[in-house]
Amino acid sequence: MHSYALRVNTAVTLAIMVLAVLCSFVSLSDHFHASSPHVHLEVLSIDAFQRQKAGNDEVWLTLNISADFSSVFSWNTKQLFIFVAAEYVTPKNVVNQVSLWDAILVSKNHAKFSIKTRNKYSFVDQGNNLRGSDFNLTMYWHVMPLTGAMYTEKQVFSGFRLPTE
Amino acid sequence: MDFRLPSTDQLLLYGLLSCALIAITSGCIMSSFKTMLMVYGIGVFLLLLIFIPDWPYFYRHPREWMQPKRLESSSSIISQSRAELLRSSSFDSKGHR
Repeated sequence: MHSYALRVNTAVTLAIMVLAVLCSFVSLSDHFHASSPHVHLEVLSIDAFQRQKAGNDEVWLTLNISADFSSVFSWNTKQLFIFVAAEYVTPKNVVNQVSLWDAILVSKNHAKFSIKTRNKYSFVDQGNNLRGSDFNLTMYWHVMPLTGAMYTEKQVFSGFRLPTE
Repeated sequence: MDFRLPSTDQLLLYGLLSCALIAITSGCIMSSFKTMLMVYGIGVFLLLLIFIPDWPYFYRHPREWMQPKRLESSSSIISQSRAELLRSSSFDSKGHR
């Protein structure tokens, strides 16, 4: 430790390594965080059921989305990305997932909300299989931490049906 | 029990680890990541202030370095091997061919 450069080098390197260990402990502490979000999704009305020029079905819905995500926020949460997806089965594809609406929740204050909205993104099928088909609405939320890995969870609401005409 | 004061780099490491511990505790209590980073940053800055500039307490107990010894007696190992080299090959006294 006989020169400035050597001391600065050692000190800064050690400080950064200890900071890395600190951040890994913080991200591990997220495992002990219990989250219990309340979500409720329903379809208020089917506004339009059209066929596009290419022959694909297109649906416009009005959704009622109410959720309380404030318990999902921990001290290591940067933001929450939530989206609502419609999932259904067709003879052509076993799994179809169409994202209808999404939002970014930046803090705990924004985490509790209730809105009635038309779907943000178009609900278009590959083909014309939507007449009279059942679909599930699933709420996914991606938790983006300040340090550590992102994880994602979902809640499924089933039992919606599109009209036959 | 013989107790020796830890060396500078060990003291630095212990200081950093204790800063980290204080930071994580205060961050957990205040539930804020920013608090943790700020406490850690202030701790690191104070430690740098203690350890990096040339303070007088670094000069208090200088380590004794050994004096270099001159090669006088032929019984030393180095002078014996040098003598062998000179005898066995065409090297001159300086070690060149």
